[in-house]
Amino acid sequence: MIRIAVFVFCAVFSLTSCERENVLDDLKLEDSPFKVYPEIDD
Amino acid sequence: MLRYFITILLIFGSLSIFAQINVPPSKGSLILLVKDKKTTVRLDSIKYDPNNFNQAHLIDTGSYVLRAWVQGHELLEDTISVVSQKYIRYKVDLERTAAYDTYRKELTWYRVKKNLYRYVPFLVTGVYLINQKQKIDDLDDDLDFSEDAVNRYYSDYNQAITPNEFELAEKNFLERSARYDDQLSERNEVANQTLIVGSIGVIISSYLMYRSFKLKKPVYSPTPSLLSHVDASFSPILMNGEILNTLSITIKL
Repeated sequence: MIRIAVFVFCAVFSLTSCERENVLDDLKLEDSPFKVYPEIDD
Repeated sequence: MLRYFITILLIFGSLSIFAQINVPPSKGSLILLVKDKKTTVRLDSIKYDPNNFNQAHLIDTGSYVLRAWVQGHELLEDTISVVSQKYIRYKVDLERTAAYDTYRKELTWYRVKKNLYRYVPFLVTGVYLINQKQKIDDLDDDLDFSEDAVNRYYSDYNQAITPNEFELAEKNFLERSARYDDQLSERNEVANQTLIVGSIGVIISSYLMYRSFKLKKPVYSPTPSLLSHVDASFSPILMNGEILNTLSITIKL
């Protein structure tokens, strides 16, 4: 009885406890060709 | 409830039979109402057959000493008079002994505790985990949706031609990315919380379940055997040249 209960809980745990990774971390926008850069005064 | 209904039916049935049959003057009718079939009932020295409980029977007129007893109850002693051609209904109502009452309370408490320890914590933890899993699933769905949207805006940005298209795609991409980050944080927070609370729940539940198997069921022992508390032994001793046996008795209280 205890074994079954612990097994069920472990199964539910494995489904709930895993942390989700940020898969969009590497997704960066490149500068658009129309981007206006501020002029740098010398 | 059914038992009382049957009893009432039997009483009326007996009454109707009694009304129809011809009762001789030397006899009266007696019905003993007894709840527990295990009850021992004696009229004077004659044991009353439990199969005859709750049914009317013709018996000789006169006074009888009724003694009734069942385990865990006080002995009932009463005198009943059976009158010629009359119907007597006697309810055998035995009072529980204090020891038996205590035993019953202990037994009830044992059962409550056993079920409480064995099932309730696991049930509560289980419901919590299932609920959290549902919550995490919903958050995962939202995340999937946001992930698709971010990828779509990223693709839109890379395929943009006009400045307006670039601007719109960038705006959408940044908004969705920020939302995705928030959703991801929330999702992982819920998952971590579930892990901590769920672990504590499982540990407590397992401990209480273990305790439930260790609970001792109360035992009712109305007549403790004296012999089980007595150790008796013969020891031979030499006295005045003769061997004598002495009996030593130890009584454990």
